[in-house]
Amino acid sequence: MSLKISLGGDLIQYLGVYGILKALDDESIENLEFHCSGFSCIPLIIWKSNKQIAYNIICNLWNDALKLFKEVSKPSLEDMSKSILLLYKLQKKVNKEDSRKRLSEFVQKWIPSVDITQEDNIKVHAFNISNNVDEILTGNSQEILMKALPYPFAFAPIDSYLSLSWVFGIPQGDVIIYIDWFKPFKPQKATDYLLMATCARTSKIIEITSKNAQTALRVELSNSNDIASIVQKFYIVGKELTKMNFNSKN
Amino acid sequence: MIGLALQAGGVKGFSHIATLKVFEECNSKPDIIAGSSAGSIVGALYALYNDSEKVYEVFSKTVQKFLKNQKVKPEPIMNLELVLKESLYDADEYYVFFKELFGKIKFSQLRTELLVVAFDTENQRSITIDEGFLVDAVFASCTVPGVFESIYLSGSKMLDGGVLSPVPTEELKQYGADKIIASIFEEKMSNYESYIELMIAIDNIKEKKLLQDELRYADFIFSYPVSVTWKDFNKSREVYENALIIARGLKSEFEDFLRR
Repeated sequence: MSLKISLGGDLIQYLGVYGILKALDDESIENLEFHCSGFSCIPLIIWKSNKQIAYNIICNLWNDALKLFKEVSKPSLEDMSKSILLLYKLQKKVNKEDSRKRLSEFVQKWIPSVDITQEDNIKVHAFNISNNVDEILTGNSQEILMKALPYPFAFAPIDSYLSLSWVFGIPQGDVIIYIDWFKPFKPQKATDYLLMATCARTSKIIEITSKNAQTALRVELSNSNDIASIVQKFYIVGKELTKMNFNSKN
Repeated sequence: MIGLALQAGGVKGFSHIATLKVFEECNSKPDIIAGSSAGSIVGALYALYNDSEKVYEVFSKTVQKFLKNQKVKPEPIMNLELVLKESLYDADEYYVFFKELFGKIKFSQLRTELLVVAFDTENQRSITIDEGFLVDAVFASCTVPGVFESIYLSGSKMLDGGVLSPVPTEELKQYGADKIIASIFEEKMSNYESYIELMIAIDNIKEKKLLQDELRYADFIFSYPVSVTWKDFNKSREVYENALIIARGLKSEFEDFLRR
């Protein structure tokens, strides 16, 4: 059985997962199964379509991602608390049509249309909010990404699906890789306490997931705005991965 | 050593009194109780009186008295306060409720061992409180984030114990309980219209996930279907009576479990 690599995806910085794929490719390491959630699914699908031009596509879509997914473009709870404060002020209603339209425009523009089958080594996770379950999606890459990306600050669930990253943090796996960005902050407003509590819950769920994994690798970001430097950080983690001699649990 | 873990959940905590009632009907009692939030209120009252009817009487009477004096804030005012203030209610406003329940009673005066769980905002961990004044411990454990003002306890600001330990079974295990009973709720997913409500619905899913993890330690579970929100305190009697029907339905199975 393949070793399961599971990836977080609650921030756009997970586009840097390209770096892991490149590091593994450089060492010709195969027979891995990637379980992605949220934004980490984007580089996996682009890589599957054409690994030669994957880096260029990711660099090019970065600026669009910064604009469209601005609420999750900075690994900072202080910044996120401002977004939540604004949501409370506006009491903005969930808008399914608008969410679908914005996501559709993004995936049509940037995501290659490929089939993701059960046999693929890419497992795209999304959370089904109607059935309360983590599901692995198969089918057309653009359609499944529409379901894997929505996060609750700014997008309605698409056909009842939300980004798994914003519910359980990360899928189960043998090796889990995530950006550890929930650094404590000083809450000032009531909404800050709500954010602190929900992030603490996500951290605890990730901790539980990590205990069930063989190992957990954290990505430390120094510059969260520069995609080249983010890819480099993930590349280093990928190199670390290549040095490990894992025995699959399955 | 029989341990009883009581889930957090506001008015839904009245269900736990049904669990305690069935304990009594089986001529048994827990040796140690752990509770988060409303679970800590019921647990503390039972540890104090060792009488489920007295727990119901004191808890419901105090709730009714407090509700009468409580000014209900219209939703637009609440939403405004959430973005302007640290909490909807100041500590002084609701501390009186806990003072009325527990006065100056200390853990050391209780008839049953009690663990109160709160969330330590500084370390981002659950903290188990087993000494000092009950009023401070339970008050800290009941600090619903954003709703009630967070208070300092042992140098850190505290929040509701249900944040990370919805039903504190693991704490019971750590304190030596070898038979663990959990008293929990079954809730439907909350509806959402706004993005904030969607976030809250997702937060409830996370709570369920943590709850499932904690139930690994439970040997017997009283699970109560509830259709009220945590703040529907005017429905406390209905919650208790519905729970009692469920709990009594499990009585013979529970007796068998206790005999094992």
